[in-house]
Amino acid sequence: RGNPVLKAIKNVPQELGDIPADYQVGTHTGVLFLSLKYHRLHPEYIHGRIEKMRNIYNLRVLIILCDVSEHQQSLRELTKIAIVNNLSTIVAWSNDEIAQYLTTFKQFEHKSADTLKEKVHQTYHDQLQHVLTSGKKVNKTDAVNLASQFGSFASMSAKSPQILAGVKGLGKAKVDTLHDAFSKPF
Amino acid sequence: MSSFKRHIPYLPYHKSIIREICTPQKDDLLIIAKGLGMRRIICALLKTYDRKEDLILVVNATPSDEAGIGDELGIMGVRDPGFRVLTYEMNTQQREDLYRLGGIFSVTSKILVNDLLKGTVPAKLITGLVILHAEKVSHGSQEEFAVRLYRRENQSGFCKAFSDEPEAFAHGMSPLKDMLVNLNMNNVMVWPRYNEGVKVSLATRKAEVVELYQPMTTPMRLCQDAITECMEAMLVELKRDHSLNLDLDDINVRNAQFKNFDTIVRMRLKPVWHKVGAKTRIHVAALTELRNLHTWLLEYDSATFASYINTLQRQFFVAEKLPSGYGGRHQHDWFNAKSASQLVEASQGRVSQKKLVMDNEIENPDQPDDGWDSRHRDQRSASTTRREFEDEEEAMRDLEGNRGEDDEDVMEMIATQSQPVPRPDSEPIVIDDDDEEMREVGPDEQPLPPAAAPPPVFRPVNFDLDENLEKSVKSRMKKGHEPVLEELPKWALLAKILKEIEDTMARMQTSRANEPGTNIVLVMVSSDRTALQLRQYLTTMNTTEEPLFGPKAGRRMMETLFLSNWQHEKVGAHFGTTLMPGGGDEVTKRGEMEQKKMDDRRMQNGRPYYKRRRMRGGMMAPGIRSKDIDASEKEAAMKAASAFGGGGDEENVEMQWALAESSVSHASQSLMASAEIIEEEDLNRLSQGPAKLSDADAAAVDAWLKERGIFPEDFDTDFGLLDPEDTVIIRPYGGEDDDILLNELRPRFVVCYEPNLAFIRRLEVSDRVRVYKNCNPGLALRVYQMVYANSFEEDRFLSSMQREDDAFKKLIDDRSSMVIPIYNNNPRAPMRDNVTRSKTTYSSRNAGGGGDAAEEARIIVDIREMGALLPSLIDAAGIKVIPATLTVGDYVISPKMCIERKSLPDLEGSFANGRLHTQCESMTAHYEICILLIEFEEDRFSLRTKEDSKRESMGQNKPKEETWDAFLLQSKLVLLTLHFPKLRIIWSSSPYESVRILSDLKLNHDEPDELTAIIKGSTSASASAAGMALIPEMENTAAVEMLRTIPGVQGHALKYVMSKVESIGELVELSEKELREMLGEEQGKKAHHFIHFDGRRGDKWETEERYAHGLGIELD
Repeated sequence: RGNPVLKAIKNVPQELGDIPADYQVGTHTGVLFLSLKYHRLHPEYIHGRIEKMRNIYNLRVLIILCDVSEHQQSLRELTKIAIVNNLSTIVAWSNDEIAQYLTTFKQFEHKSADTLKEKVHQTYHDQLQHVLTSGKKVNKTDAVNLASQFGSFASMSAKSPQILAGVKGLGKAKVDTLHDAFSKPF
Repeated sequence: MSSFKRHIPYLPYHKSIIREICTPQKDDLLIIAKGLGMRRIICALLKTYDRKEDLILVVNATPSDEAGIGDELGIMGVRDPGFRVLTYEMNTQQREDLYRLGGIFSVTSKILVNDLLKGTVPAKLITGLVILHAEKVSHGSQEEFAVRLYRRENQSGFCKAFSDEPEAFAHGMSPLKDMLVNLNMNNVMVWPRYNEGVKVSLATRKAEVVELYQPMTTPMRLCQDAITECMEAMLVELKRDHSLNLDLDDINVRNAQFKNFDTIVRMRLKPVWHKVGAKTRIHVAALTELRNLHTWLLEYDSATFASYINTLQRQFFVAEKLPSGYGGRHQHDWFNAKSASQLVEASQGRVSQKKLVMDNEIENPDQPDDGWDSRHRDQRSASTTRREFEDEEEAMRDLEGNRGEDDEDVMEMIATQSQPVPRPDSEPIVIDDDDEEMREVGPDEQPLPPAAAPPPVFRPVNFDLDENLEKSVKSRMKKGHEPVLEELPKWALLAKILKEIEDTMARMQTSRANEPGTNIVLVMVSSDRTALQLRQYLTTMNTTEEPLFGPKAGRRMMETLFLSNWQHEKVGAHFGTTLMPGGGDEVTKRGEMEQKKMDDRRMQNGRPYYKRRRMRGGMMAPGIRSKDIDASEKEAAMKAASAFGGGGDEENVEMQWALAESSVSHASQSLMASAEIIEEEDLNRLSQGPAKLSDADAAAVDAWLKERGIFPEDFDTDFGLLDPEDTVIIRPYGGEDDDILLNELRPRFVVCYEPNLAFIRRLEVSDRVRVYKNCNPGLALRVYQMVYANSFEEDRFLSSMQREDDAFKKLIDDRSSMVIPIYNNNPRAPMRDNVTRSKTTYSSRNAGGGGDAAEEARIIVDIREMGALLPSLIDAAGIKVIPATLTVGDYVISPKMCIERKSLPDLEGSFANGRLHTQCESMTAHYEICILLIEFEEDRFSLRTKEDSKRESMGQNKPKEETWDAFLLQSKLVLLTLHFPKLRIIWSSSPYESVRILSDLKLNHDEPDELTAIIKGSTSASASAAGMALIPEMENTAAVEMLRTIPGVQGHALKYVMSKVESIGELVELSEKELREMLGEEQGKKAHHFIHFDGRRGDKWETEERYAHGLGIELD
């Protein structure tokens, strides 16, 4: 359809066909495309499209190209429409970006959710760093210094703030954060 | 008021401020220069309302504020019931009862908002609100929310805000006006130091101030220059990355001296912050780090500083090796700068230096020729194997280095720099030496309780002879290096000043007889660490050497410090090496040895801190209460006196005057005696005992010239015979508490080890108070102020004065020109409330719920979300906010609709740690319509895209490298929608927009029910806790976050654990069995293993298989 988005799609094969959605990126995923500019001129258009693709796809995505500066009003409308009609919305700011979204949708079609899940730290050291840096202020260097001075997590969490302050690199703020985390009740 | 002994009279300017601020009809913001006694004004205000029927809430007080105000009010006679602190540990019922009874309370803004929303606080009955640290209040903060809620219900009570940081009001467009709007106030009082009233009050007399400018040593200067250059390099990098979309030209390193330099940079980058890559963020963080280094260069001793630099460098190398495409890769990027190597060299140069000897000559030059050899021959075999391991490890590392050809240089550097290679044979000996030491000390130490055990010298290992100390230092040096161990020049200067003060005192001895005020020398430093350092220096100082107070006086201390740092560093490096494959075995053995040593050392490390704590405890105890303790102390004092055997005391006093002229043996004898008997009272002196024993020739230490962090009252009772005036007290700057300190001690000599503007003012004020009181006009105060010449420290001090001046000028200008809106002719009408409120909610309620709006519009908000701007805005939009502890979601807007709100940084964070996945899982399980609300900040409605990263990498010759993080967020989002097709996403350009969307969505839907919302998601495990959860409780987020990350504690277990144990400290103490019972077999084991694993011991960390196993169970 002479769409600038199509030109920007790389890495993924494409074919034109007669489908209810604008793009079909997987067997169960259909994508509608809407530019805010167009929506402002023809607000009824999107309803028609949604009507057409009703219940065909498992995941229905509405990609909105945000190409006007006064986007609040229309976005609000679209959000509501999307929620009522069970569409997931994605907002993009350029054709390139939309193309990239489409490609990723395709590429990730069968990807597992592992990358979204909590990472497991393999070594003790990583793990400890992860725990100690859970507070805002403490950084990795501090974690290393703490570990080398006190050894185990058990021993460092039992220390008084004065002792913690003796660790190099730990200022008052950091010591307070740590001590609060260690000994104050939840 | 004056009937109380410790009470300090007010100066004229205090009185006029108090007179002005105590009018309940007006709401004021008071901005006052630092050090002019803000706390006393607050206390005076609070005291006026100390009546049963009044309810005063103090918001935003820090713990030290709370303690200080509590004390001060106690002194002023506000005792029944006095000043009370409300914490999240109390439940709602308790709080409500307290509120109803009235009084003065300190409460955090978070709790207050919660209580106001819940109606726990009888808002109508509040007499007044006092807000401390007003500079921290910003639009959308909890304080603002609280003030708004308060004003809505109550328009008769007062509201006063205080701030002593005028600088905070100097940024932005119209900071003062914004602040007043935020706080719903219309009057501001500005009291700079140069206010006429203050000037008149203070200017009559000037203290004698001696300013000393200590030049830095050459290596120190080198370090400082190198740090500055690194900062410049970072800035250049930043500028290059952002030259196209930002004007950063006017940022330069001159600005770097300000405390908030990095915040300035951050502010500049703010418009594009959401678009910048991880690299830029790390660079900005590096600026903060470098600025800290500037301070630490002057504060830390050379050994500690060097070892800190080494740790950083090691981390840099580790990060360097990470594959590109990983965010941590740019950590400590500033080590790439040319000057960074200068910094490393210079910092090392302060510790050790190349020896000018031929290489082959240093083959075992310190092969022990005393008794060592024979004594430890039997252990030789063991040591050779140790050596082999050592070599093996090194070889392995070299190998590693060759493998990655590019990294060769880097690896070599690691081998040489990050881990000082011990000389062959010398290392085992040292260890033996330690073990030997332990055996010797062991029997004495173990059986005694910690308080009674004679603690050895401060941090260090206890070596029986000085030479050994020196030797072990040498043996830990790099090959062919000799120790330099430079001392901070200020140490010697301080020692000289103290000497001078003593001389002066001796001269004045006869004439001062009737003057009030004490001869206590007060040394003010910036941190606990420095205090400890100085104390160590002064006590271990070698005064026999000529010239007196030469640069080598602190040699002993430096040596011991070096050793302990070396030790820590080794362990740190050890962590690095365990990452390498196959390093396990030798590491274990080495770890065991080190563990032994560490234990030994730690025992000794712990002790001095313990002492410190005791002394601080003494300080905290206000003098009034000391009477109660008197009895027991007197007893001990009697014992002490008898032990000294009459003349002992005088001798000691003499010793102090003459600075250790008396005979060494006698001193150590009497000290030993004292060590045995008065353990309880004077742990400090105790430490002197073993020190004396261990090195007889260095024992000319001036025994009494040392820190006594105890108030004179206590001191008198401790040692009835000893003059309390002959002490040196080292204290860190303590903000408002210093006022009390100064009035307690009335020191005649004050040494400011580091310049501090506020403290100088305090000195002025307290000096002036004394004159005003007319009780001790003769007391001449002499202040020594030590500054490193041409240093960062000096710059900072001067610019802080400058900045305060400027800030006040701006404030005064602003005040004269600002316009504040007043609604309905009532200055107390809530300003930011939306007008529609009255129509939608209140009118419907007032009308008795006619029509279809039978129920008030409401949104249930998770209590952890209350800190965000959105709840406050929802409230302003006329929708009732109900705080509750939700397991699922952040906002529940209808029985079917649940929203998880994520701001952009949140989104990134929870993608990274996987929390979003869990949250989405539980949301989709419990609600029909689940919504992820992505909230952008105003004017920043876009995501980082390829173009941005392209723009950043433009001008760099490595074009491909930077694209990895360009589409990261988006692709994760795609993955999320693929996995949760039911999930809806709202893209909201600002919190204001979110409110509109939410209220739109709410239309035509039922109102949510609080109870069901809370119960949803709380599974059977926490079903019992569900009843508890009905009461919204605050929580300690830091602790919860940490708990969440502990392995084995995940998901639902988190809530359960929280209901079972009080704190992390408690969790740590549980046995493995208990943990298993709580978390289940696998998880419990995991948690226990993690908690008690000691990296230094080199236990094998169970990884892959067992872990995967554990994980498999968890995922089921």
